[in-house]
Amino acid sequence: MTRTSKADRDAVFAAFMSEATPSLMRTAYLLTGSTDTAAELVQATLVKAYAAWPSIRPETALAYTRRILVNQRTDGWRRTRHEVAVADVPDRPRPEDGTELLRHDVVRLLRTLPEQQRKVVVLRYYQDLSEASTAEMLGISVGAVKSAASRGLAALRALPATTEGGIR
Amino acid sequence: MSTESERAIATALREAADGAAPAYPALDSTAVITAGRALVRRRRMVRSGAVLAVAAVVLGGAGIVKGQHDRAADRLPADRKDIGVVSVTLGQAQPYTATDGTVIDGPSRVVVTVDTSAVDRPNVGFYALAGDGSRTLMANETVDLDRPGPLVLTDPDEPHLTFGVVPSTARALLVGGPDSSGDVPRDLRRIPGTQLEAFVSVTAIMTTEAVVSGLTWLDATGRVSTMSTGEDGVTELPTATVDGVTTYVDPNFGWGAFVATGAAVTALPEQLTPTDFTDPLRVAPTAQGSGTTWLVQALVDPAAESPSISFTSSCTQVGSTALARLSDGTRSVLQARCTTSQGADTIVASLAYTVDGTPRTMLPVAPYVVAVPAEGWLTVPAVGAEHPAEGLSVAQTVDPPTAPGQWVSFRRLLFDGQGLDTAASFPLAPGADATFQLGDGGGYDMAYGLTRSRPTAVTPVGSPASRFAAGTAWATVKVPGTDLWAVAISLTGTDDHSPHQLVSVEWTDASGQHHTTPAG
Repeated sequence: MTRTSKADRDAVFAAFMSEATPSLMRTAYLLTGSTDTAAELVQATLVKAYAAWPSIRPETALAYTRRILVNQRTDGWRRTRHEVAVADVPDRPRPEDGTELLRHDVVRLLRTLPEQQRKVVVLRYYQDLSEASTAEMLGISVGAVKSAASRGLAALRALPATTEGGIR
Repeated sequence: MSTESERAIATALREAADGAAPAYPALDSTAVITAGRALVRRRRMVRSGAVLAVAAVVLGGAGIVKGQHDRAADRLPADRKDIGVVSVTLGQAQPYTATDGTVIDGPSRVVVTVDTSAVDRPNVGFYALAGDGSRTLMANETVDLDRPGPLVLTDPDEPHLTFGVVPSTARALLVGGPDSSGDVPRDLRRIPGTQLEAFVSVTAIMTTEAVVSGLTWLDATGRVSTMSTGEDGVTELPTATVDGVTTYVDPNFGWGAFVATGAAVTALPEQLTPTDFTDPLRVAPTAQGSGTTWLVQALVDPAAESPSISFTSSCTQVGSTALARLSDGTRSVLQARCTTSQGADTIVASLAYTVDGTPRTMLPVAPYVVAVPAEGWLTVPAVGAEHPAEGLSVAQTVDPPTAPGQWVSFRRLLFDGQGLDTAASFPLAPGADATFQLGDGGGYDMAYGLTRSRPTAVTPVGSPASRFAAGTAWATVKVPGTDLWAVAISLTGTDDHSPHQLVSVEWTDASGQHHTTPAG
């Protein structure tokens, strides 16, 4: 059985972190609605990934870490029970530009969704996972994914129209 | 999914995530690694303390509220006694050695308690036992002792442990993990005074409730039941029992087996991936002494007869080759054992059987992946939108050359190129010249197909006939090592989610012959 040296392991992990962080940060931002909270979430995720690194297969490292991230989000809710979804995201001023407005509103509306609906919407429509893969990642049935996606989409359809036609 | 609003949501999400990118704070890899090392050290210190605990500690947890995870508040003095609580310490399992040689302590320090003070809904708690005898709540949940159902729990701070309860009739248990490979529990113990058995499982990878796919267990009557995480129902699975081996097939996750050796029963890890029901052959070591005994199993046609297995020269068959039909009659299990005195890379040379007098043979073949060039692919206008550039790969995961057909899995690249997602998986039956099926296309509905000759023109036919009027696109690739061509077709006009949208596919082969293949 071969042991990897600690320095080698850290170098490989640092390279992985550099590559994976942008993708993880985007997912975390959609899940949290805040860039600062997203950064905290990604950092906590990567810390756990480091602790588990000897057991993570390189070819699935990003998918595995993304899975940690989604569950880390769940953990965060459990541990900070005073945190509640808010109707608006306080860390960014409401933009005037039409495109920025749509971005702002989609994040704001996401934030108002129940946690599972928000996860399903992000995994299904942002991560582009299939219903089956979304269900597997969240540990719920495909039917629950369909239901959550349907309800989440209904809520997000409140997004305003843009010059390109918006969301109907 | 393919509605216009779904595509618009996907676009809005991507623009929102990308638009915020300049505001994302930079992360310091040194800080992350330092914190990660600290986390590893903290876990090792807890574990080394646990080694000092030499006796089972009977402690209660009355009044603990579900979801309460403040570990400091849960830490109780060692001498506290609670009334109405039964508990058991789960085993003295040997440490688990991870793939890199890291030793992970077994679950000997885990204590499970049942608080019976609430008679109708007792509280089951799992505690980490520390060296000073104090314990820390990892997770708890309420269960109904009159109708004991399975329960799986995890603790984010103990990511290598999975624990829970199953009905006390369980003889052996498999905890489904990532890739559905499963993990064999380290201990399964009856909780005195209840109809529950508690289990604790140690895995080499981190476990979370979302990672654990479910539980599968064998009861004393030979039945195999399964429960998927997040669902309440328990499903009984079709089984076949041959020579002390109970094999089951779970259409959602794969197939596995419980192997009885004397009074002990062990669970073999499940063989298949959750979505690819494509691996009909399994080889697993089941006993080691002077040599290794290998159990070889294959799922074959339910009408199979006259089974035989040819082993490589390194493995000598023990006993005869057996055949047993699954209880639901959908397949049969072909099974044999062989022994090796030394390590062997390959055990099985071939399997053979007959169906209605026709001989069939299976050969183990390594998987490989072929990428379909994505350039120009999926760029046709569709319902007023333009498909993004997406990639598609075709993976032939297993090739049993003659039966039941050549399975091909279609996996598409996720939009960010960071992974593959299985979109469809099916075989082309022997004698058939083509097959087409609807499959997942991420943001767009797709049809996937296999043809026996190279298609030069492909036209999907919808219901109604105008369904695909907005346009379609297709691509094909030869699946190496086979006589098959994999075809992927992007569809439009599937927004109404009505059934039977794809009626057939009209296609022309390289010789100019036209075909109409009904959609499967």
